[in-house]
Amino acid sequence: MLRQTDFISGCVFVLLGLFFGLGAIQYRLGTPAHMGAGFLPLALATVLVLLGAAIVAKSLLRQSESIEWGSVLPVAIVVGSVVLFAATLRQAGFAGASFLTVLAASFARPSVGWIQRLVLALFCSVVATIIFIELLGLPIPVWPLFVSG
Amino acid sequence: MDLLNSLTLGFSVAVTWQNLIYCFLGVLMGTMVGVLPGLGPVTTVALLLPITFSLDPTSSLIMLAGIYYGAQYGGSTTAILVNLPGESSSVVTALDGYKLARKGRAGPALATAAIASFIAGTFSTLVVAGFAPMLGAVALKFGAAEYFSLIVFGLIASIILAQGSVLKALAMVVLGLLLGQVGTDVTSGVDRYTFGLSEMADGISFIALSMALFGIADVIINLQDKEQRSAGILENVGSLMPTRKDMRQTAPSIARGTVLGSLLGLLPGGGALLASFAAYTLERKVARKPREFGDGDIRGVAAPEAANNAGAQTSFIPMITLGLPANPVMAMMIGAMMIQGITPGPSVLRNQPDLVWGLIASMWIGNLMLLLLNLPLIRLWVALLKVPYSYMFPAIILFCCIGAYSVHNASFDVIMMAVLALAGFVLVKLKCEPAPLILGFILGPMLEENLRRALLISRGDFTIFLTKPISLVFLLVSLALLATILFPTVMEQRKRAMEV
Repeated sequence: MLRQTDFISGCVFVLLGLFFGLGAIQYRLGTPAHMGAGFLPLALATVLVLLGAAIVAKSLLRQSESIEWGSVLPVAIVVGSVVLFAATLRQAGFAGASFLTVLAASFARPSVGWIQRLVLALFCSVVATIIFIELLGLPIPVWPLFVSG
Repeated sequence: MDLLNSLTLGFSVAVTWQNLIYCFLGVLMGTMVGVLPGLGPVTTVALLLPITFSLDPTSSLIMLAGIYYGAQYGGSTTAILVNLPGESSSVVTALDGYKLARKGRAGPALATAAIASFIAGTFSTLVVAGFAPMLGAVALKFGAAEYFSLIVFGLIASIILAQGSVLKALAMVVLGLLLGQVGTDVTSGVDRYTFGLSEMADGISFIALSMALFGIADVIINLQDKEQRSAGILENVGSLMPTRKDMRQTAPSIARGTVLGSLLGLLPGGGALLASFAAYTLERKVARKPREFGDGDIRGVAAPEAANNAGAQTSFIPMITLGLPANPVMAMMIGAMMIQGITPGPSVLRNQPDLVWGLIASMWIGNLMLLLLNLPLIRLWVALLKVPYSYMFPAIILFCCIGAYSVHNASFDVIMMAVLALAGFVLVKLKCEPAPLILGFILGPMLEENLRRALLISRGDFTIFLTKPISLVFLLVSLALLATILFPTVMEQRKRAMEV
């Protein structure tokens, strides 16, 4: 049961519906003629809970595919490298953050050599800096703080 | 004559050096990224979206449109040469295209795809030019009630025609609508679901959401696939020219594909995907003998390619005239317009005809550029096909990060993208398609505003949606569509059509 896509997704929708529904009743509901901020969210959340329940009910009647989560490593490395970009952008500058992000992300495929990783990171960093800073003029400092002061 | 005036206006906008260059850059970059194995048009448009932010609205839409059909065409090249369709709409092209390539007829297959796309593009541009003003004029008469029902219809129709479980798709739409509610409510000024974070007051960044779902989550899924994705690349393209027999054989197929694709592109949820499947199915039934479909029949390339390009083009009609996205790419176009400060809908056609007609004219120019560009540059595309995924995906991730950051210059949006990507990954693993969620997300605020206005006019009386005839029709059709779900025969048909 706990490994079935339909059962779990139904549960997820019910929980999300409850989350949005409980949030919605904190806001003013208002009347139909003067809808408050909570009116539509509450209605939609109710529908989501019902749909989730229907999906769960259907999954009890008929087996669905079981979930294949796959390996955790790519998930962690990819999401981690995105967070790394956000975390290092101020300190390392645009070029530095780009370099670090690409380098970190490349580890999601273990079969690549160190030199290739470094070259790839350098290449991406230079190209991205040319496109986004030079050509498109994004207002971000390019160099790390310790260089630009 | 009105049409002629409008087209003249359109070409006067599109044929400026600036816009021609952006159209060209869009087509070129769209093809370059679209050709990379595993990257479909949706991902390509999402990745390249941030590049257009700094342009003026007309140029940015022209460039985005170019990216879209460039990516579409790039996907076909990949399908023919590597049997790795980037997106479901070129799955059908791979069926016969790859077989032809293995028989040493890759060149004629590619050329036929390009010619079919161009012919279809020319015809469907005219369809867009003819239909858009008509539909736009009707849409101007729509009140809030009609609009609300139209949005409901659009959302439901897009689910029925999409792939996968209908109940889950419905739930994804509703979840998208709810995510669209995050942020400050424009009417009451209340912050909804912001957890007290000022960064969330503007709502969830559309770019962060689409990049998370179609960029990052996609990368994760691809990386988890153990098998190396590079199958045999057929480098030897050979002579490009189709034989006379090819041309004679494919002409009717191109015509059929074009008409069918133009029609299906108009439907919400239709667009390129449905068009190419339907065209292939039709072709297998009506084409003259000898039929060698599945075994390298050139008509199996011509018809779907014509259809998916025509469908991609006409799916712009509901977007331009009604502000309704028929597919995720159109949702992104609307997102891009909103970032440019334009509210999509019938008023755009009236107030900014230069923008709309410039876009329409540029579609034809873009298609012409594709035809001239693709065949000579085929060596470049083949070279790009050889880029291993190990080098590609870190660059994709970097592009997504920069894109998410650049909308508001906020690191917060990048973190948000990481969270949404994780959520998107879980949803894909639970077999929930992300496309309906994006449609719901983009339409959420519109749905609320029209519901609110309609009920304000009717003083809280819900029957307003039933007493206005147009609104009633939309709701009845939606109901009928929903009812078909209860009858398994229709669903079986749908499944069979998707499988081919």
